Amino acid sequence: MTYECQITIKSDACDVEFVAYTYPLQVDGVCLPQAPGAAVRDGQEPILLHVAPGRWFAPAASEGLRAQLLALSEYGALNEVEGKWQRFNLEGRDSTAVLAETIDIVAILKDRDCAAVHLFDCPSIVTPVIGGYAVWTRASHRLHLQTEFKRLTER
Amino acid sequence: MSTPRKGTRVSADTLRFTFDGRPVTGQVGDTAASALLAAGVRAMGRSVKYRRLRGVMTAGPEEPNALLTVGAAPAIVPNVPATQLKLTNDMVLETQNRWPGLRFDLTALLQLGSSYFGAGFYYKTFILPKWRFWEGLIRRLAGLGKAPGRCDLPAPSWEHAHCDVLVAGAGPAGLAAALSAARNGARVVLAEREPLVGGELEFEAATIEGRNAGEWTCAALGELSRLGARVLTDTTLVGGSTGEMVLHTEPAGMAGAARMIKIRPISLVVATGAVERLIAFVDNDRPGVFLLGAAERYLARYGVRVGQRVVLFANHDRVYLSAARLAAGGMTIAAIIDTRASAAQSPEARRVAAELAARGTVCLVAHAVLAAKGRSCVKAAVIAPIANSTLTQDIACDAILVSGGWGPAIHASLQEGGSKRYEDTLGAFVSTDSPHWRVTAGSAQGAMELGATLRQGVEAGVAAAAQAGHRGPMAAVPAASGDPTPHLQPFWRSPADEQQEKTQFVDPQNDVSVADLRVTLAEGFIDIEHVKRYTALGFGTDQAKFGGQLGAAIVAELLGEPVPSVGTSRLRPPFHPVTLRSLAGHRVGAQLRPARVTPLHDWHVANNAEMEAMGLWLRPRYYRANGGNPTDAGIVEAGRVRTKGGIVDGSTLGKIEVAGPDAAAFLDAMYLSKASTIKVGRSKYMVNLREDGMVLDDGIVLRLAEDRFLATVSTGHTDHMVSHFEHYRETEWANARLTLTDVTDAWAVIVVAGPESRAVLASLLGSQWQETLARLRHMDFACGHHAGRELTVLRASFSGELAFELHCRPAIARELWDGLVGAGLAPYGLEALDILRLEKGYLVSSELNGQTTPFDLGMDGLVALGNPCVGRDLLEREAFHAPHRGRLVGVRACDGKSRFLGGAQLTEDAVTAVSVGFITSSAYSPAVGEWIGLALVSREVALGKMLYVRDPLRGDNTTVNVVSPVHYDPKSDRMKS
Repeated sequence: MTYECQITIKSDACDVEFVAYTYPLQVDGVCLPQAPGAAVRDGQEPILLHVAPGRWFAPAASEGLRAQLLALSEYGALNEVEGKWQRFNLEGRDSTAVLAETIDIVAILKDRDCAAVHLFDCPSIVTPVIGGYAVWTRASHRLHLQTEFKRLTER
Repeated sequence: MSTPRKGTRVSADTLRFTFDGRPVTGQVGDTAASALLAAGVRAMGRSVKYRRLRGVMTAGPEEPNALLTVGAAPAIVPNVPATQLKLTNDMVLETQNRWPGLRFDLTALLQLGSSYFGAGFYYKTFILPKWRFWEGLIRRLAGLGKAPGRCDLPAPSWEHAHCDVLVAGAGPAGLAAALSAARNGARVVLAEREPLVGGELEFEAATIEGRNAGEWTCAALGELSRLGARVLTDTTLVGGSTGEMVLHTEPAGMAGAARMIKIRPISLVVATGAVERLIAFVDNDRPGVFLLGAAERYLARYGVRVGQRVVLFANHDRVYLSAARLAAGGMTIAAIIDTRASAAQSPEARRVAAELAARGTVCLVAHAVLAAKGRSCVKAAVIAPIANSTLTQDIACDAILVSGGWGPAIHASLQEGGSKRYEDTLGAFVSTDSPHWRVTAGSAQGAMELGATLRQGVEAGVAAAAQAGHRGPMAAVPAASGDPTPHLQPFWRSPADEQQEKTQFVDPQNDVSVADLRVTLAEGFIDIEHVKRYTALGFGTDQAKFGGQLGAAIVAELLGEPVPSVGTSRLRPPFHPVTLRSLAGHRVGAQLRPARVTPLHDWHVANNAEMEAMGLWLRPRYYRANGGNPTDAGIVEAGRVRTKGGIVDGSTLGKIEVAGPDAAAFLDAMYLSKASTIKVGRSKYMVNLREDGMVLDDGIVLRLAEDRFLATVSTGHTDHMVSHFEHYRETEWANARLTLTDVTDAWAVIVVAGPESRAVLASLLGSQWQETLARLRHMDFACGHHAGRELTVLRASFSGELAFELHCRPAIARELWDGLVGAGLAPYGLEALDILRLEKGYLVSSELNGQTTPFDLGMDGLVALGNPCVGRDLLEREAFHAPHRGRLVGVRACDGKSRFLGGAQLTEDAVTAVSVGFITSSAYSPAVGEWIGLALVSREVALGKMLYVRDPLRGDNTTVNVVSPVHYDPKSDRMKS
């Protein structure tokens, strides 16, 4: 079966991860989305994703966001992870069906905005975007995941 | 041209296919079985053991005989039930278990020896001269079809889904359950193995809520659609484990279009119906013996009459209603043989029986079919009163339609760990003691009347929805009529003497007869599981669907025990055959497991690297330009590193960033030596222990800042080490100000080794790095930038040469690599890497085998530091210091030239079998000019002693001297230069 889904590989970005020393964070007014699975967006573009309890992923982090996270150094550590994640965008009518070949994406994202999952055995982060999903997979897994996407989408 | 048949599932359009090379025509919508029956084909295969000619018996997945091979060799799919295989144009079908052909089959000569082939014959017969002698012959003769030589099937689609309620089976109970669950708000998935929903409602003249059954089914489907339920046809619940079910969808009835759905329902309704049973009588396997329900299906669905003049043989009231329908379809009912002492008991059955009798149909009660006459097809039924089986008479017929009742299809229930109870009125087992999330309903639970089936369905749907959090009122049970109680009286086998029992088949697929069961019991195998294994009852694709309950009942009869005390054998998944291709899904070939690649992977592939899997990683083992095999290439590449220099892709090295004020203290606890004493800008070789004191891993730890470290761990060990660290982080260090981040993918690593490494790097990185490179001492590192990206240069060596590790962002890895290659440094692979490590006595891989302590590996100095780390206390165990424990040493051939390999055992003389150690790693060293190795040898063996290498399987038997593990540059002058 082939699906109607456009796969786009995004170029490298200066991503960062912020990990809290303890969770939940005992601090008010923090920029971090508190519930695991929550995400902060700039328009529709995800900019800060709470991917696991106490662990936030900021793709292509802006200087402003980076500064905000650095200011939280009392509560956790900021890690530069440029090159760790490879972003794919899945867009099209069947983008949900493509992901459903490996996980029940509808159920997983039912009550959350992002999730850390394994797509075709590749550790990944997934969140909905307009017309489909943004997926970040560990960069060393990119070839495997790309092959799976091609198998499902190329006629 | 003949008039197209009419049935609920066929259209008038024709299809052409071949059957054993012969062209046959069918109609669109036909299964292979219906088309072949319509074409007058009776024989569709031969039995596994005796090679008896067999025809189709059923119309469902329980078919024991008509298993076909689909496609042309070598890309074939074997064991596809003809009853499930939907025809397509130009389909190629072949029968199985025959040679050279179905009609002229030389292997049928096995029938001549059938007297000797009873149960367990192979356990007794093939002992001498030995099993291996016979194995090849038996394997060629045995089995169901042949394995494909090639698989051309497309990768099957997999889907992962959740739902509130999964209903397996869309007969009346399943439909009622799905409706009531959906009405209460549950997300329902309804799976039906047939292409159409409705089950028995397709044939029966019943009414539900005042409408005929067909109309009610359509209305139910429409409502389910409106309620958002998902209805999957051609989909079977083939198995599952608690909470996770596997549905198998095959729209064409074969693996080419397979789809697997792994679904996790909150609750499950098993409404899988019941499987009609055979009755054992002599030659009940002949082509022309059908199950009664199958005959009705072929007539109604495909317009196929399985016989023109038929004898019906049953033990319940439904036979009369079936006879009326078959007669209306144009079949002549030669006789109805009812095993019960009295005739039809329900008013409707009595009325129909009277009408049939009035039309001249012979209806005999308390009679049985004793045997089928005819060899390649049924010619007559031999009948007699059950009380006096000598009073036989032959009734001419071309088909015998048998119904011994129904066995509820409780596979899904029992596979999930449920238990069963015997229902006397059905002569069958039904499931009981279901877990709270599973409900069984309808005929799968023993409800054989439509009204009871619908009631159970409604109740099951409401209960399942409530379990999923959708509580609602109990819906009204649809009123139904026209489906009488069967009034079944169990009857398992017709009278026969013991000689005749050899062809009273219980499990036709595996040629298990009543005689086999009798022999098995006589030999002491009285447990049903032992009976199964001794006779093969319920083996293969059957899994007790067809012969299981019949076999258990006859075993009970032969033992003189009630059926419940015998039980049934375990019902294993899958419920029907599923190809390994379907189960494998996308995990085939290169996609078998997720391969991890480095940022330089494309370069390696483009430059003829022979890639090797290390864990999930793909790494260059050697470059083909340097030699045609790993040994030759490795020697060239390693030699070049020592004379000039080389580069290796070390990106697979695991990297864990440990940050926070408590990072140093945490690492002190994780490693045998202290991290807290490392100065910023310095690094240290460090070793982890397991809690039991065994060495877990080793690597270099860099101190990036006062509160930030980078711990490198072995390739392929990263996930384990992250878990190891996380475990302690989450338990004993739960309140620490400390974070762990796996940054393996964030840094590419290029190792530049060899005498020219510093000069080449200085040239490549530019002036801003020259001073840094000059001042870096061994184990120093410096952080900076190159081409606008972060770069860390660590002076460390695992080759024994002056060497630098470039830890760079992946974006600039290729540019750096190309620059180094352009500067004349050639890449080397794992083979050379291992040679270089071995020459220096560094651990290669086999030394860290989970059974070595720091003492075994010569790390006494690290232990002596006294750091109280994980595993430190248990190092004091007496056994760790026993004199016979191994210690890492070097070995070299006494003659200076012989080869020896890792894994070879070492003994003190050429005769004794007592090993004093073994070789862990070995290689030919271009620097030393001979084979060198590392070995774990008893501490009692002194340096300089000669040992015998015992490697009988590979034939590398020689003698070696025990030497220091450091074979090259023992003072490390080159490395520190």
